Amino acid sequence: MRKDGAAFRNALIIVGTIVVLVIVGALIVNYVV
Amino acid sequence: MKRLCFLSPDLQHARKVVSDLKNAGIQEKHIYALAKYGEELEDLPDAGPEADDFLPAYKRGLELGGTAGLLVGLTAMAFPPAGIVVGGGLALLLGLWGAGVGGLLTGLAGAAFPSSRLSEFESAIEQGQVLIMADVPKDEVENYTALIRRLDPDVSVEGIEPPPTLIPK
Repeated sequence: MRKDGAAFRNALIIVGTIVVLVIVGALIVNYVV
Repeated sequence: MKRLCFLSPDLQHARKVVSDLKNAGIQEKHIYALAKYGEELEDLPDAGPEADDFLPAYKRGLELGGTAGLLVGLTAMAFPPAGIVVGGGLALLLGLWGAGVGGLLTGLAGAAFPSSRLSEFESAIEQGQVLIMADVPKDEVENYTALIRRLDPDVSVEGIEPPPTLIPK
């Protein structure tokens, strides 16, 4: 029996982090350029 | 919820304890069993991602990456590169970005290793014992500890707080 909850949580963290990175990255680029 | 951790001497004992816990009302998804690599757990609930180091490594990466990013931002404020006006906002953004990159990369790397929170049980698991973890309601810890002790009076039950859930149940 797999622990889907924990796997889902990890996936959510990864996707959430990437979204935050893209947004913050865009803000930084906007700031610098 | 509080996570109870204890070592079971063999699979047979582990199976008995897990079925006792289930009969006492702990759902199977709240019970995690971890045995030596290659050992067949059969019907025992496996630990899955609970046994890897993703979350602790992610946290370490967030802290280190955030600090490094903030330092880079502050350095850029102190010694601004030609042509760019660096304000406090950029320092904060760089801090946030550093935290994200640090967390992501460290977490993904950490997922390949056994959990650092379980390192104290590592040698016992290597010797063939089975680590059982169960998330039990905080005010019923005593009852469940007694239940586990009934099968094996010498067992040492240790509590580790489960990481806070990001997905509310």
